[in-house]
Amino acid sequence: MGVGVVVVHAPDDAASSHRLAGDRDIEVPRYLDGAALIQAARSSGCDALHPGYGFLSENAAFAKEVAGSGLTWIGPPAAAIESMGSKTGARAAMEAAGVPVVPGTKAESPERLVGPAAGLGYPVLVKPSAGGGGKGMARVERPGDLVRLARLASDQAKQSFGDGSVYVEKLIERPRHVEIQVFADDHGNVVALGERECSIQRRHQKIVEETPSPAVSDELRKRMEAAAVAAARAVSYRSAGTVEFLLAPDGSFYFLEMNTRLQVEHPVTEWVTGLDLVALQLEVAGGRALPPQALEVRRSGHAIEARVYAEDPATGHLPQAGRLLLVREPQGPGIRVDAALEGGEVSVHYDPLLAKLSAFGRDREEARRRLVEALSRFVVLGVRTNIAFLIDVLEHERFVAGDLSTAFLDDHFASWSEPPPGDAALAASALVGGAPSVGRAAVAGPLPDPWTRLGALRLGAEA
Amino acid sequence: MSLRSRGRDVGADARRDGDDVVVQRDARSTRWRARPCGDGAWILERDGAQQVVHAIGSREGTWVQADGRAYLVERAAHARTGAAVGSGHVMAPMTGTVLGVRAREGERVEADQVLLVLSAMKMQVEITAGVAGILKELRAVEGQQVEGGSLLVVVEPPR
Repeated sequence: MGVGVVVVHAPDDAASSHRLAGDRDIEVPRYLDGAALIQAARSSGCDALHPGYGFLSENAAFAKEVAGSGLTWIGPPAAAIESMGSKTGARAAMEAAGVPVVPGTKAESPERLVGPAAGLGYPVLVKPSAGGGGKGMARVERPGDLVRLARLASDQAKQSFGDGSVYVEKLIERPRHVEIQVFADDHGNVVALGERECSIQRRHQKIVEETPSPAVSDELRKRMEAAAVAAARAVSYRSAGTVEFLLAPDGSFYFLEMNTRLQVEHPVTEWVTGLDLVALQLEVAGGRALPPQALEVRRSGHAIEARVYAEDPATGHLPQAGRLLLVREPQGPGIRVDAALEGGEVSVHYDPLLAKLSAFGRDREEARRRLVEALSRFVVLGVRTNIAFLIDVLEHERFVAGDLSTAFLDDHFASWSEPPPGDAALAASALVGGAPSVGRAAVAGPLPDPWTRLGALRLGAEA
Repeated sequence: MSLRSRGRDVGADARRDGDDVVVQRDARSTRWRARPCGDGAWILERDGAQQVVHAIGSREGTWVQADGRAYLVERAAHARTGAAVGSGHVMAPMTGTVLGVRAREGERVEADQVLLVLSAMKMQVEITAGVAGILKELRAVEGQQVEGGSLLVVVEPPR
């Protein structure tokens, strides 16, 4: 694009290879130190700042500070972030815009949920009004459990978000998580770029994402896209955003929330649309209109992404730390690896996402087979990862059949364990010896993806 | 001595035998021809069939990848000493260059003593003795390229 890039790094991440990816590298005290990021961008002559997809990307106050400092914020307007940041506020805005929402009510105290919950019919879902990511959510089966579980959610919300108000809603049984990628510019264009199904989740966090969804027909896609565009218009959106829905087995769908940023799983959309979503973010931030290929998007094929985490699926997906001793990334037609693992230290200070592996195929089965093959060729030694678990998920007969729901892992993988090593693995263990203690890496730093961290970008002269 | 995975005995042992590697499970033994391919990769061949495996040593044991799965395989000695195989035969954990030699033949060495420093995969790797004893044989000089799995040092434990 002809855009120069300034990257930042924190002192405890100084060995990370993302520092080499830009035209200039600046140290900041912490990645979440907004003032230092703005200072770094200004002092290095940046025109604009991209907040990645970490915490600051959905921080309206930070978006305002960036804009106030004279830099261009590569993201949605602060007001749109604010509107979608509050669950109840977003819900009200969506109801007003005619976007279907899950029936439910907010209350100031747990006791006041009793009446509304009875009206909805059990089971119900109780969750904090603020926050996200499934924190503090509880399923309530019986009226007798409501106040106790709601109080837990309220306490947790107070602790995490400083706001103890809680929310009760009808529980949609065995839903799929289907989200619509939207994009908007300053010229009145709001487009939908199709759906992603992200039903495979552990602890309410996605680990496998795909597009198209095996459950979405052309007709359903049209309706979901129309709802997503209406959602974006309702908050005067700009840039990339994702409108998340719960899709019930009967085909009805309900607004869940809108992520006002680029998503971790955006590569699958890029695969099937041929669009570069980050490049579009820069175009739109620079005041240009969405190009024709985004306005009249043509989708083809199927893409699946798997998130490789430094975590042990045999012990409840506990995050793992340590040094990566041997890494060999897979490659091949239709394979994309978003990672920077060279000689890396997996630190407890950052998210344990090591890599995003995605595969494209003419159809779902080809994409699935390519991804399984790529995962089985992805060598990551030195720290336990979820690679074998991901392979088992992708090879499960219900996954192959496209029979998914957010309960998939609970239903089929609640007691996953690692099969004992076979003879070839044992043979391999005798090939090396000496048990070295590994010293300093010349280049280190496991980076999920440059966009996970914060990077300030410098837009081209014409921007 | 038996191998362990996740602290559990796997009921088998494995050893090098020249260019071969042999897995012993009860009375049954399985033999592969092993060929190093650099950077921790090996081709195992048996009855004309080949497969690629990866292996690298660490303090906790040997990390391996075979049949698309990664394992940390420990030997009983790892649990006791936190160090090496315990045979006194110190092999290169991967293909690399010898950056430094920190011991001499005839010297008395400790189990955790650093004997060599290898550079490989953009990392510096310290090679420790694994067992205490007398350094009988040193097969590496500074600047030398070594194959993963090649014998570097023989330490003779006290009797």
